[in-house]
Amino acid sequence: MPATSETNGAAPIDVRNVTKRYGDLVAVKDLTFSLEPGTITGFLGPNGSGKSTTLRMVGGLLRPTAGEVKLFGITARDPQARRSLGYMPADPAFLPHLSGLDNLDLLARLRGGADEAMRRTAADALDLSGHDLDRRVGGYSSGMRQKLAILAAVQHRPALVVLDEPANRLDPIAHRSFCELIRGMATDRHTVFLSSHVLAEVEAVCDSVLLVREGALLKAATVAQLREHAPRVVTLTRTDGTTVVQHVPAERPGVLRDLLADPAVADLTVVPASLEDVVLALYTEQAAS
Amino acid sequence: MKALVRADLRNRWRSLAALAVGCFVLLIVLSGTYSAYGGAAGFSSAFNGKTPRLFSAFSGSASGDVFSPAHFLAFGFGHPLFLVLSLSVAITSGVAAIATEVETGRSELLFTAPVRPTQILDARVLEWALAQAAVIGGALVGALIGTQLSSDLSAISLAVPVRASLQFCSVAFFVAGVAFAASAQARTRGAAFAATVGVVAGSYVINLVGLLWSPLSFVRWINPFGYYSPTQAAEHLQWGNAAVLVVAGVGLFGWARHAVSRRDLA
Repeated sequence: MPATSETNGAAPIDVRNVTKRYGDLVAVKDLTFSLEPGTITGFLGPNGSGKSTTLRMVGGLLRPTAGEVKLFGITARDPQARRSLGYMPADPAFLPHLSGLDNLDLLARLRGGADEAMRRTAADALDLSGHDLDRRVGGYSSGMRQKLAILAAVQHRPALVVLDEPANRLDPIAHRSFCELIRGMATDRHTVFLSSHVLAEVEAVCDSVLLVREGALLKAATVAQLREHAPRVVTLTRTDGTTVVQHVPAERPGVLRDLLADPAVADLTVVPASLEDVVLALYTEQAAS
Repeated sequence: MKALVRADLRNRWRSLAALAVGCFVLLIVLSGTYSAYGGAAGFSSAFNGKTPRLFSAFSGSASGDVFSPAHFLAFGFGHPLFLVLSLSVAITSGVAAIATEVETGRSELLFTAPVRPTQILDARVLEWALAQAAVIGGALVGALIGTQLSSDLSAISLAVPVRASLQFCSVAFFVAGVAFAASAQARTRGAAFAATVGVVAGSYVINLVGLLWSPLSFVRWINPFGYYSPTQAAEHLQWGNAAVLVVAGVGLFGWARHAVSRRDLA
């Protein structure tokens, strides 16, 4: 359970009308959202849509050009706000001549010390052995560095964990363990905010998603809401052996009744569209508009 | 912040040890060279009884004698190779403090901790001070051993190399200030490195020209090396010169602290 005295009941992340400009380039455009405690939120968007920039503002690394980012009610640039933050960058870099354990110890000390039980649990889940952690980070593979960065982000049991593309470079086994670890943290009322391109991962672990495009918020919804409104993929097999695949909008269940009324239908399967289909459809709609 | 200082020093100890050994060996070799030339008499006869102006300029004065035992030993603390070896500690420490962290992405792990960016900068300044002391210490030990090994230098007071090395600390402090200020401002280590080396090397060359060509002698007072003469420090510490460099250095460190607390760190 994260330390509630540090979280003071305010939203773990509260982003209000945030814009970030680099000269003429607008990386993030008037973005507003907030997260509920104990939820896992996926942050989705194409490359260059401002995901990492937003996460860096949440981590207090970047100053918004306009608007405000608060963690637990305190502006993210204030060190006090980051007392309950665990942060994993998209491309983690460590002191290469030190061991993994020495790097973890250093980062833990800067954050007030590691929670040994949490560190052990996370290391076991990510399959990082004592032998691995005793090796110099300079000799790590990119996947090992990724695991170490995830471990560094959670080892002090922060109330808020921000992960930028955590699934990158993880093998399927490590990825499954990572998803279980994250789900377990949310069960313990930790809030997790993760950006990802792997929509299957988001579908598997997230409660809600924020979709961004060109720096602006496109949609905020729970995964259940997205699924509810997702079109169904209907495969019809007729008596003459031909098959037809149709995407039936969720809001029009009458279409299914009409299809079933057709005497030539020999078989019919209905599968909800995947999150990937939903997200792609949203982006396509937005691009068309 | 002690943990950060310790970790950084452990991460860099090989390169720092190499620089300290380099300075140690350089000062021993210089002491050996003095004896090999036959001491003051040998040098004097080799150069027709007069110190070449270029040698004096390298020692930080327009016409100073470099061949007396005390001055020759102190000259070691102004030798271009010594400056390159010892000031590279200040330059690399300063550049690595912020610009390298931002460029490599290490800043994202470090600066998301609940600490102020200035606390990280201060830890890096402390780390530099320890590393710089180790490298200057290497040179000092080399000079002290060199005087004992060389019959022509053995009569020199131990205070001579101590004074020369202390005087050098003010130059190192100023150069570190330039490096930290450039690092706090730059987005890439290349930019921070180029700016620092440009200022340091440019100042050194300008000072040398000012010492060699009297119409340009005034330029000595508008660059840091004009305030450093190890041969004069061999006689007595130049407190006024040291104060100028220290005050300028404090200003640069202050600028670095201001810049790092306002800049984007990724």
